[in-house]
Amino acid sequence: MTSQRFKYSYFLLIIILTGTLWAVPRYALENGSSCILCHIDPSGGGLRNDYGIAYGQDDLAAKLSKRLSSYTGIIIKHFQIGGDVRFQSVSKKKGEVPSGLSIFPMQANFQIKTEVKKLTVLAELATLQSDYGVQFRLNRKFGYVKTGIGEPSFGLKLDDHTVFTRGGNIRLIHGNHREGMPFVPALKNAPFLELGHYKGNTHYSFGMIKGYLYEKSESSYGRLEHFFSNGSLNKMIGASFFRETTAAKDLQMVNLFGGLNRGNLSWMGEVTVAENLVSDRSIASYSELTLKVKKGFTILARIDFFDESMIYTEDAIRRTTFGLNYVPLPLVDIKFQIRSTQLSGVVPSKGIEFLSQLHLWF
Amino acid sequence: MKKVMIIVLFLTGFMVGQKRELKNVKVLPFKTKRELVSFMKTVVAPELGVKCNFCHNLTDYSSDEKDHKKVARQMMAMVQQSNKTMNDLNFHEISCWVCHRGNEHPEHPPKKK
Repeated sequence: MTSQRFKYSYFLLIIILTGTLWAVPRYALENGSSCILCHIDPSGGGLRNDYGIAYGQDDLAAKLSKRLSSYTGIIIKHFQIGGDVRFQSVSKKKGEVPSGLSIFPMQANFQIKTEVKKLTVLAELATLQSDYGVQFRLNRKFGYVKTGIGEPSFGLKLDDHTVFTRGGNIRLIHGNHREGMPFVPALKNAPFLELGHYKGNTHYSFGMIKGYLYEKSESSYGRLEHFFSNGSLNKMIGASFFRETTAAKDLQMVNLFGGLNRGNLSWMGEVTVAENLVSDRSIASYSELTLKVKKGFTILARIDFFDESMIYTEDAIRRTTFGLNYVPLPLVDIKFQIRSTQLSGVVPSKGIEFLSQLHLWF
Repeated sequence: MKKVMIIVLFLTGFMVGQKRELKNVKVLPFKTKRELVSFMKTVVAPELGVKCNFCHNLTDYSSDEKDHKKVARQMMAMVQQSNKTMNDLNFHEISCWVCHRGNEHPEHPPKKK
């Protein structure tokens, strides 16, 4: 009874609060396998499968309480229900003067999945953006065809949209035309069709999406990833492209990503080059080193970079981040980060930001 | 459009779909998904040095489409049978590791000349 009440209180929280799906690709690297190992959606993020839930309990959390050890997801009749909620707080300090603290809900998604033989139906309600998504996926022996309303697979789908390879700074705080790639959380899901194929440890997908970044635009995208593993060393390498065409704009993006994991130490990184994002060619990169200190505790160091013109001596932004991830229990993830941003040229540093995030999932 | 999709989703769900019970588990004695996944993750995968996709179609873990899964099932039945004998002889139980030693295929002794 208590367990039931616990489940439904989570459910209510999601309905009240419930954007875009985010994932932690580092977990895929540590497992030497594609996102679908843990998630229902082959593109990663959102609702977890049985393996994903067990991984959260056995490998991620510092402590597994008896109440949560029997948790296998919320399944009512023929439906599996799940959700992700993220709250973030950012405090900025310029010199000795604190310039404000903002706390905001960052993501609040509610998902429901059902299966009819080889067909998987996954629906998503993103209440923060007043958006929804639905995916009909026909599973084949070595791949899938999926269609519905959603987002394209591109690069590493990181759980921090402020990384420059994703959305970067939505509010242009450094005075540039853009401060990051276009994958901001405010983007609405759009009609898409995607084909995916698994061959050994390689997963590739191609798709088309209509009106995703710009109205009346048409896009094509593709993503390839390959995992190598010899038991102690896991390696990942991949590439993706995205091309969105409107009458006035022809945005093209190419991305390379990769990662290495040995024991508790992991490195992940990606580089995206975009044509016509601003005026000419722009570049964004992300590089992150993580060390699992003990079960449930991970420390990280990250450098991400963005230059809207690829001149490097002007308009370039580099951000250095140090952080701690703490997973006290399954279904709860807490992050603390200290970030410092440097701008190219003679522009003074923008000070230090303190960021914390609470992520609840079920 | 949104309403139609929600209705379709609910209708399909009530026809056939997700169940809490284990699906297509024929040899292993587990009663819950948790026990089954933990066993695969901590025993089978590391003892064979493989990842889940070696045997499973990751879009449907329960399907028998991959031949490796069928072989694995036979191997597990063999290990269970061996353990019955081991039990009678009062020996320790064995697992995949005894032969596989972290390899997909067990090593064989060199051929005698």
